Amino acid sequence: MKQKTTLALFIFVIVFAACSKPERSNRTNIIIGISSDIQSLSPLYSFVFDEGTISELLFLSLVQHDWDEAEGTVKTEAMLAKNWQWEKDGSSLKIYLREDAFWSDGIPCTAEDVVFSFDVYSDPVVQSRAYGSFEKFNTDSDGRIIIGETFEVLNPYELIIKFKNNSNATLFDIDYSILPKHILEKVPREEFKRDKFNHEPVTNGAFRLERWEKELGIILAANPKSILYREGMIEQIIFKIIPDYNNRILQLLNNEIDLIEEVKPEDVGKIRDKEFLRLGFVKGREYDYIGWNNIDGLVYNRNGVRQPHNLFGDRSVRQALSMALNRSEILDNYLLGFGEIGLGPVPGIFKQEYNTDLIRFDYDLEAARKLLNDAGWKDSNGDGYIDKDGIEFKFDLQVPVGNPRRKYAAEIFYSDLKKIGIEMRVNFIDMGLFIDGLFEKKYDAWMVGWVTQVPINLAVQWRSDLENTPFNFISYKNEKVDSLLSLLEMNIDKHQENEILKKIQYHTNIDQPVTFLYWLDNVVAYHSRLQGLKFSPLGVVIKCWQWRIN
Amino acid sequence: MRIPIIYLYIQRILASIVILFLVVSLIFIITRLQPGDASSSFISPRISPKLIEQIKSDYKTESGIAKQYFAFVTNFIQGDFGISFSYRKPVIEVIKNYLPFTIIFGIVTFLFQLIVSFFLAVISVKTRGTFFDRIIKKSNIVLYSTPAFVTGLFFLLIFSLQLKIFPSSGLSSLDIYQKSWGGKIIDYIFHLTLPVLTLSLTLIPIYFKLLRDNLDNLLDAAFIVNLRSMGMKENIILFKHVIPNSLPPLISSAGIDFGFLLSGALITEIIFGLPGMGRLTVGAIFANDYPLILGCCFLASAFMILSNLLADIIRGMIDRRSIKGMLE
Repeated sequence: MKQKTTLALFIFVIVFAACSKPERSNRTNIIIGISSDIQSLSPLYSFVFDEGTISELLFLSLVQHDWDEAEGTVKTEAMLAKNWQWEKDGSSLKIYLREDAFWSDGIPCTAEDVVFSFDVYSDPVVQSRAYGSFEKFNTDSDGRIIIGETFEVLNPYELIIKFKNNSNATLFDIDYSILPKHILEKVPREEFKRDKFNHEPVTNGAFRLERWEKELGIILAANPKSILYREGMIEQIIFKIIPDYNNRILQLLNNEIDLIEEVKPEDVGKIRDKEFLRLGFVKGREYDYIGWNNIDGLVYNRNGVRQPHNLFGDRSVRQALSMALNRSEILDNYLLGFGEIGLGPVPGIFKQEYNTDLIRFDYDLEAARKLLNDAGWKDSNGDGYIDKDGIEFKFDLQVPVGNPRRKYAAEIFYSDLKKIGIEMRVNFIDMGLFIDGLFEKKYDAWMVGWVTQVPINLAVQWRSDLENTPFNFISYKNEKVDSLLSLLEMNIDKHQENEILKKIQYHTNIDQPVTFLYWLDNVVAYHSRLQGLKFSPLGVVIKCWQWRIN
Repeated sequence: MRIPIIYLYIQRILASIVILFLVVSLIFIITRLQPGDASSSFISPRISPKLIEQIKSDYKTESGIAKQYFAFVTNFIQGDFGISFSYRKPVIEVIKNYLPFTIIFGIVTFLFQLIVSFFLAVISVKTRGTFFDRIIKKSNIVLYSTPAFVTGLFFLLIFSLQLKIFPSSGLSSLDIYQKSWGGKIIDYIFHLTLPVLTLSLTLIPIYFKLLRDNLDNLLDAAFIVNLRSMGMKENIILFKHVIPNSLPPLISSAGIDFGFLLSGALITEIIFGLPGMGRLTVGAIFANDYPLILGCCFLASAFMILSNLLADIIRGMIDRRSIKGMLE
């Protein structure tokens, strides 16, 4: 009897194992592991990174941008626009569209779709991800593009876009995915957020949606009718949702998935040990920083006066703090070298814009002590903490919960500052609460991350006009920086723009309004059968129609 | 006797509705009083401050909390929880995508836990004091003290990575729609085996201990000794007298746990990438998605109350003394 039971159990397991093997990619498809499901496939609502990546595979833009590694800059290539011609003064742009681009329902993609798309993106009722980003266009008081003044459709495949005078518009300003007018014009604008287009879109990109299994994965199939389709293109791309990081790593090691991003440094060794896996490194444009509130937030909130902060209002104090923080220790011991010490708001990957003459403010406790001493901060009562005018150098550092790297860094920095007589109390708080506090200028100091945009836009964070620059959380003010930022908005050439950006970096470096901690690398692990990957700071998967399977 | 019992159950149901309403009201007030709003998930350098301002004003209602509460109650009675901020869909529609899995997963896990712990307890008590009994009891302690995430990752490593028997994540294969009915069922069973095992192993030791101790005590009770002295067979004593008398405490405990299971099993859902209510609720909390938080909490409370009520009814059916106690 026992033998029969054992045999039955054995057969049961074998049959099960034979029936359903773990999923595996095959010769014609690839599987990319992502951490969470997306909410929309529409480029209107691609708020998170994965949504943006997937929607760019489904929809064409007028132009596409790629990273030029050799030059360290972004280059523009044709996409839906086969050609373009700027007016000499840069005030308008004539665009020639491809005549062989079609929507997935067979309708041609024309200039009418382009005009409609810009109207929808800028419509406040739609609340698209791009709303409020059309400063270089002629807009009404609500930020909506004035179509009559901006677009002139010459024929279905030619149109002129007119920009605001002296706006210094570039091709980045027209880099938006184009939407199908014939589908969306039937939908009331206030219903766009909930329309089925978000889940079953009519597309024109390199891939089309084959299937979306909620919370399981998104399957995209190559679109043979697309202008981007080429022989040998990957036939199917599956974005598999695996919320748990450890499970993503296990599936990669188990040859169940082909690519994951944001690999933790401690897992790099395991991946190197597998012969069939490769590693790619995307040099970061994301950094961690410690923000020092340059002004007294309480006074500012009470009467709008920018009174220098009693601890961090002095530039030399901020320089001293930067020198007292051992950033290299976190870079070496936690990030295991997958990053770079930050010196300013522009990363080194932008070779033309990056200022190579910035001061490093390396870890030097003696120099930090001297700077603080010169600024009047001394331990006058012998309690171990420095003080000035009766105020002891003690403050709270706010850190949003849930990031082990920042938790580790906070612990190191706590002991670093204690060595020079400063008490830094660390508070871990909820992200929502933290962000509210930032906007309300409630905090003295905080540690969080930021991303440098492409194209570089420093005004969003460093302009002193606090009313119109809500992301200037530290309330930084430097009139030279303000005038340099204004110059960037004028009609200037690329060389002048780069020189101005270098000057702004000089000021933010010398002022140390924040302590730039480190640029973070994105470590990508992928199967060796994938060919043609580019480790671009714009994203690894963005042009995967150029990949091939070996 | 029958009329008072029906009256008792009606009373319990009415009380449950009141409790449910109070719980949801409390959650409404807590979520509205806490700082932060759903707009925080949109804060990014890629998004223009103008859009953030607009989204913030959309999420922050101008009316006072009393007015908001009145509007909430009116909609709540009509079964409308509003639109989820993060999913941009009615809450009911969002929950519909997650609930069926949670219910099926909860019921399967619950039944598995009960059956395994029941058999283990009966075998253990029948072999009292033997090596086998000691092994079961010792492993019970080990299982009880192992957190679900460790068990889950261990199972993944062994059965998925090493033996390659079970898939490592998801509710089904992505190509399930191409499979036959039989293939679909096998696919689901395969995907749910490790999660069910992981989740079950957290509660099996508790049920086992509860049942094992009850059985142990009852086997030495005076009325059992009396039955034994009358020459009744051990198996009849066990199945007819000992087991039915040992069940009520287990049912009470299981009633609470069943409610928890139906509210979602966060850790297991995350490790195995399952679309359950646990993940949905926690995601809603992190995103400050108030309508969705309320919808999820309402369901969790309803399941908890309902499973307790169900446990009381079953307990009453097995042991009528408990109803008598309640009536008195």
